[in-house]
Amino acid sequence: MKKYKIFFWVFLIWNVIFIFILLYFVFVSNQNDNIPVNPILSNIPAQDTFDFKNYLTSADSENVANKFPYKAYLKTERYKDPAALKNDLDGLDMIFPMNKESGDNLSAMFNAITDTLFLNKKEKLTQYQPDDLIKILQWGEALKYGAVYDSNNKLFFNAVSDYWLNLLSQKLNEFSKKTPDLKYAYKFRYMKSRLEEGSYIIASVVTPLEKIGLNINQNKWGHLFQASWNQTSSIQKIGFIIFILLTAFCYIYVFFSLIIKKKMKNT
Amino acid sequence: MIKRTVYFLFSIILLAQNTYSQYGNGYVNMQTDHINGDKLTLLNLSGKGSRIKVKYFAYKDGGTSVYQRFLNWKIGKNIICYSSGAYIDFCDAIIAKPAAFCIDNGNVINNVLAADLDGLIIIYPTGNMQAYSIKEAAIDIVYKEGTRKKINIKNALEKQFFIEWAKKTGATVFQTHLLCYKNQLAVSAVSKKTSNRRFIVSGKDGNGNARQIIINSLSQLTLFDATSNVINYLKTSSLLSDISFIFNLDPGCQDVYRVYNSDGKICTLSGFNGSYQIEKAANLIVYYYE
Repeated sequence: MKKYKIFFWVFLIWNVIFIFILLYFVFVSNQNDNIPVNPILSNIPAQDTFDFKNYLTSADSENVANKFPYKAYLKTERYKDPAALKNDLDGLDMIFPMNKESGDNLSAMFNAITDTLFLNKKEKLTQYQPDDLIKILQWGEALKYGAVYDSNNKLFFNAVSDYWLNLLSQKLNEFSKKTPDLKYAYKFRYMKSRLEEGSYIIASVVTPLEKIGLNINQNKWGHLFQASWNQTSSIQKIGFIIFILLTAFCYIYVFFSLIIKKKMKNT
Repeated sequence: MIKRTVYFLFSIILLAQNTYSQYGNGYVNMQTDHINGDKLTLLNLSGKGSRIKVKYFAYKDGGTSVYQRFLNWKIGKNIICYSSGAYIDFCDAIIAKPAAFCIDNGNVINNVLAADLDGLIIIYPTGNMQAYSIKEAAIDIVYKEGTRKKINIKNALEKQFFIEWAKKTGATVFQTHLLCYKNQLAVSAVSKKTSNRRFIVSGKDGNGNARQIIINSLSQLTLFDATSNVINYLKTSSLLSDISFIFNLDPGCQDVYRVYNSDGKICTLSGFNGSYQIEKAANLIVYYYE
């Protein structure tokens, strides 16, 4: 009776632990799979224009690229909203109407929200932080819509979008080279498929073991043998040949021993 | 009567020539050689009269595979050879996509400009081909109305101009390893990965005639060693006095290569055939005679 009681308690404790483990995994997987909210829905009043007049005078017209208030402008995060971005471009054109034709205003704004902004984010982008990367993806996609709504600045919006989506694709490629298993992570796959929709393709990094599986699956036996043979050192090749010879010798020995035994039995 | 007979016979000879001859004599030359223990096979194509042209199939078109696209296109064409082209993202032709920047007949297939591939190859609808180093920031594009523009494709704004130009002209573009550019070695010795290699070389021979050579390096060498061997060979054999560019093709997971003799029969010489059938090609570069 005592023995049954012990079994009962052991099984009960085991069941409770099992439920907790299960709940933990459900909790963790739910947390990891949350896609961050689109930053475009932030509370930036799109109808306003950044006050360039506080930083630029008409005398800066010929030197707008150097005089542009990069730090102050990026701090407002107005660039996150394509509508605000459009207003700011128009605002800059109103101050320097001559630069509109030459494209100097557009160039300065482009530098601000591409190379300068990248320098601010560079440190953050050295490590795989999926939530930050997804925000870049969403912004890059939103800018594409900016190109549709503002046909006058289509090239600008497409170029900024391309800059960030291209950078994001390169970064994801880098991260997956370092950690090939990333390709199985939900958020990585989410970004990969969204990028592919916009024709930004991220090459799959395949480990040597996965390569063997793929070749077997595709019946590429010849390629598998050739590739394995080519990539092994001379010592490995010699070891392989010795192994094959030894195995063959064992089989032949066993085979002939059986035949001899059978013959002896018969005689 | 004699005149008529001669004319009739002459016509038959001409007709037979047109029916059976894939390409004219003197335009294509095949040779095999060795350098530093590496066996090279060379398909030397003459630029004389611009009769030899290039076509590139970068990706399947909707549901039509690259192989089927090739079959539809090749009707009435004199094929000299075909080979698998640029790198792909996955070693399975059915689902593989171009691994780096790629435009197929003006349609953008892959927008990602790979940071480690310096070669940008442009194939014009006219059948001409030109390679550029994206490091040099000076891709020369000519609009239909004749205006020219220098493009730095690494600049996202200028990249948009380039894409618009490719859409308008129907150009095909792909990115790959640029191994030699304007007579200068353009590949470093960093990668230790060894493999057999296939290169496309473009340049001028001693008489100033334009030539393109498809070279197979059959030994297991690094990209740097194979390129150095090929450059040494081209210089010592005086095949080319001026090398415009050498770029790399992908004989890895889609080793498709076939050469046709001038009579249209498949060349069976060793080193002039890939290990996979054309159906396995995820992309295809084709040389043809017109």
